[in-house]
Amino acid sequence: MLHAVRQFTDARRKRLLRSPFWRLVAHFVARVFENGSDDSGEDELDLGVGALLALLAVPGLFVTILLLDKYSSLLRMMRGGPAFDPYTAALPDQYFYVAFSMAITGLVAVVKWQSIFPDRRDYTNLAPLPLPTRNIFMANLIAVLAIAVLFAVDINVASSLLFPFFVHLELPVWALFIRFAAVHALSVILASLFAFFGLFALTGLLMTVLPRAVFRAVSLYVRVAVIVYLIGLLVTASTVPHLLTAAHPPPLWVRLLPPVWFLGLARSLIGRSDGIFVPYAWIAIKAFAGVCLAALVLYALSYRRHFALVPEAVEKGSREGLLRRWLPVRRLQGLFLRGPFQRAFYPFILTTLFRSDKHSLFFGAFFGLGVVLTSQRIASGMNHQHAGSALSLNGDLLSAPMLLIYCMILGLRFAFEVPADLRANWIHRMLVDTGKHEAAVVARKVILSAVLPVILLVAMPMYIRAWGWQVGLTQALVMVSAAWFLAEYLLVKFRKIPFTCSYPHWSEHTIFSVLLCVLGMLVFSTVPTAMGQWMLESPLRFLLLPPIIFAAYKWLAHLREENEYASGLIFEDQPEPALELLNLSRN
Amino acid sequence: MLEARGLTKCYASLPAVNDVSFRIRPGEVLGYLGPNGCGKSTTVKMLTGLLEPTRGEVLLHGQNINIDLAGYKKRLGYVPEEALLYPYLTGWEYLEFIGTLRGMEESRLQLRIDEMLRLLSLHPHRHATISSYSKGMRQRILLIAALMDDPEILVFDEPLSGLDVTSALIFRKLVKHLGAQGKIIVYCSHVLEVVEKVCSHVLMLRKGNVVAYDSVTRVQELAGLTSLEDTFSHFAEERDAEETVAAIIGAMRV
Repeated sequence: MLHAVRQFTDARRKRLLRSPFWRLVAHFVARVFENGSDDSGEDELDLGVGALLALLAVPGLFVTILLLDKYSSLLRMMRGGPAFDPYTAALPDQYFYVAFSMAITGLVAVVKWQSIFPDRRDYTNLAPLPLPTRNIFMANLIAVLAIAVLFAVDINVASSLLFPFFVHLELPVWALFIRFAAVHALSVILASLFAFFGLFALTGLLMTVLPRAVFRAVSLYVRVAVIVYLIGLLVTASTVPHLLTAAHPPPLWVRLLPPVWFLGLARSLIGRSDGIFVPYAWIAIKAFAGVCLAALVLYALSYRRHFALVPEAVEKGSREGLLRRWLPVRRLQGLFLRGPFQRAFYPFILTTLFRSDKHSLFFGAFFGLGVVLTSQRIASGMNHQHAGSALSLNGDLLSAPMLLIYCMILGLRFAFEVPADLRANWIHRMLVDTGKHEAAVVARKVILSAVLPVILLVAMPMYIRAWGWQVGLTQALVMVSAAWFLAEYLLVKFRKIPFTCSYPHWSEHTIFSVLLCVLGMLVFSTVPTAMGQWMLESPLRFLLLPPIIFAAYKWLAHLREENEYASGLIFEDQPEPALELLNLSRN
Repeated sequence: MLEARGLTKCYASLPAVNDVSFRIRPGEVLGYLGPNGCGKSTTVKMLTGLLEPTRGEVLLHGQNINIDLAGYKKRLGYVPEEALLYPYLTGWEYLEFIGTLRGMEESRLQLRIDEMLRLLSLHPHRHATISSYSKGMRQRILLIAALMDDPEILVFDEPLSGLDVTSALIFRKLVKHLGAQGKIIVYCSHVLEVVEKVCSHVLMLRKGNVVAYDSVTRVQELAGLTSLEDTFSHFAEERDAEETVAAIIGAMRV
C-alpha cells in the first residue's frame, strides 16, 4: 500500500516537473537550499534540504521540552508548588515563541537573502531560453511563497504540537487544547511569515529605490543591522511580557514591537486578551496584510528593475577600500606592521572581512549579539541607579563593554576559520614560506585593532566622564590587558592565514565549544572589571597587576612552546581521527 | 536569414555599438571580431534577444525577432562568454533542466543528453556536480546545452575558452559541418586562426563601429594582406603591438 502511494506520488511529481513552468519553480526552490553563489562548492557548509529543515526545527523542540518542568503538574505537586493558571503562566512563553519564530525566520531570510531573488547566473542561464519573462517572474514568486510557508511551518512545528500539550497537562479538555493549539500555530506561523515578507519587502524596496551599485554596497550593512534587530527582538522575551502584564500601560517602544502584536492576536483568539490585547491583534492583522501587499508590489518593481535589466548593468563603481582612501590610517599601519607577511595580510584580512558577504554577516551576528547583551547590561545597571543621584560605580555598568569586546574577539576568531575562496589559495601556497609565518601575530593585530577603538574611544571616555580619570584609566588598562590575553589565548594554536583554510575544526565539537564560549563570556565580562574595581579601593593593589600580566604572558608562551611541533602553516585542517589504528601487522 | 539592421546600443547616451548591419544566410558562418570592449558582447546580447537595441532591429527571415521572442529563442542555441552554471547541479541535471525548459520531449531529451555527454567525453562525470568540473568541462556542458535542441541559429561567444586541443579540434570541424548543413552561425572569438578556418564571412568592430565586413578572402584582399591576424591589426587594433611590448618591458624595469 505504502509502496503504491509512493509510486503514485513519484509519478505525479515527475509528470509535474516535465512542465517547464513547474520545473522552473522547483529550480527556484532548490537554489535557496543550495550554495548557488559559490562555484567552488568545497568551502561552503552545504547542509541540503533535509538537514537544513531539521536544524531549523530543533531549537523550537529543545525550548519546548525545557518547558515541561514549568507546566508538569506532577513535578509541581512533588515540589509542593502553588495553585497554577496555565493560561496566565503561558503568556511569557507565548511571547517568546512569537519572537523566536520571527527571529529565526528573519535570520534565515537574511542568510538566504541573495538566493531568494533571481540573479545574474539565473539571467545567463534562463534568459536565452524560450521562456516568457512573466513565467520566470511567476515561477520565482511561487517559489518564494512556498519557501516562506515551508520555513514558517518547519520552525514552528515542534512548538505548535508540544507547547499546547504541556499547557493543557493540568487542563485536559480536548476542545480547549485544540483551540489553543490552532491559535498558537496560527500566531507563530503568521509571525514567521510577517518577518519573512517584511525582509522580502525591505529587499525589494532597496532594490527599487537604490541604484544597483549602491544597493550592492548597502545590502550588507542592512543585513547586519537586521541581524542586530532580530537578536534584540529575541532578547526582549525576558523583559517585555512583564511590562505587558503590569498595572499601567506599557511604554511606546513595547507597543511598537511586532511580537507584541502577534501575542495580542494569540491572546485575543484564545479569549485571554484581558482587555489590553485586542488592539494589538488588529495591528497584527493590518500589519501582516500590509507587509504581504508591499512585498508583492515591491517584488514586481524590483524584478523589472534588477532582473530584466541585468544585461544593461554596466559593471562600474570603484571598490577602493576605505582604508586605502584614508591615507593616514595606511601610514599608521606601517608603525605596527612589521615585515612583508604582516604588511600583506593585515589589509587582506580586513578587506575580506568587510567585503565578503558571509564573513561580514558572521562577524555582524557576533557584533550584534554583543551590542544587544551590552545594552541589556547597561539597562540593568541603570535600573539599580537611584533617580536624581549621581551615577554610582556598579559592576553592571563597568562590565557592560566587556560583553561587546568578548563577542567581537570571538566573532573575529571564528570568522578567521571560515574559508573565503579556496581556489585562490594557490597564490599563498606559492609565495608564503609555510615553515616561517606570522599568521597568529597578524590575526592578533587585526583583533586588537578592532577592539582597541571600542575601549579607548568609547568605553574609556565614558568612564572618565562618569567616574573620573582614575576609574577610566584603570578600567581601560584592565580591559586592554584582558582583550590582549583573550586574543593571545584563542590564537595559541593558530597556524592558518585567516579565511584560507578548508575546514573549521571547531565544527567537530560544537556543543563543547558553545559551552566554553558561554562560560568564557561569564568570566571575561565580570572578572577583569571587578578586579579593576578591587584595585581602585587600595592603590597598593596595583602592584599586583604587573606580576599577573607577566604570569599570563609566561603561561601563554609555555602553551605556544607546547604547540611548536605543529607550527607550519596549513591550508587543510583535518580533524584528529576519533579512532587510530596501531598498524601492528605492518612490517 | 538573420539580419542586423542599424543596430545601436547606447549606455548613458554613449554608443557601445553604433549602426551595425550585417546579414547571415543559412550555411554562412560570420566571424565577429574586435578588441576587448569594442561592443562584441553587446551585439551578441542584442542578437540573442537579451538586450533591446536603442535603435535598429534584428530580423529573422524578414521578421523582427521581438514580435515572437520566445519562438525566436526556441530556434536559437547560445554559448555565452561566461560559463555561469549552477554549481550544485550535476552535468546531467543541468542539461535535463535546460532541455525541459526548452520544451524538449522527455525521451528525446534523455537520449540526446546521454549521447552528447558520451561524444564530448563527459559521460563518466555526468553525476558529479558542476562545482567539480574544470573550465573546459563546463564549456562542453554549455556547448551541449546550445546544440541539443538542434537549433537553426547558433551564437558562439568565445566557445573555445578552456577547451583542450582535441575538443577544440572537434568543435572547429563541428562548426564547419553545421554551417554546411545550413545553420546560421555567429562566431565571436579572439582566436583568429580558428576564425580564418571556420568562418565564411568576417565582421570587424572598432569602438562600436564596423570597420570591415565581407567574406574572409575579400577582407584580406582589401587590406592587401594574406593572414587574418595582419588584417585584424590593420583594421581593428587601436595600438601598435610592437610599441606596446616595448613599453611593457620598459615598465618592468622601472
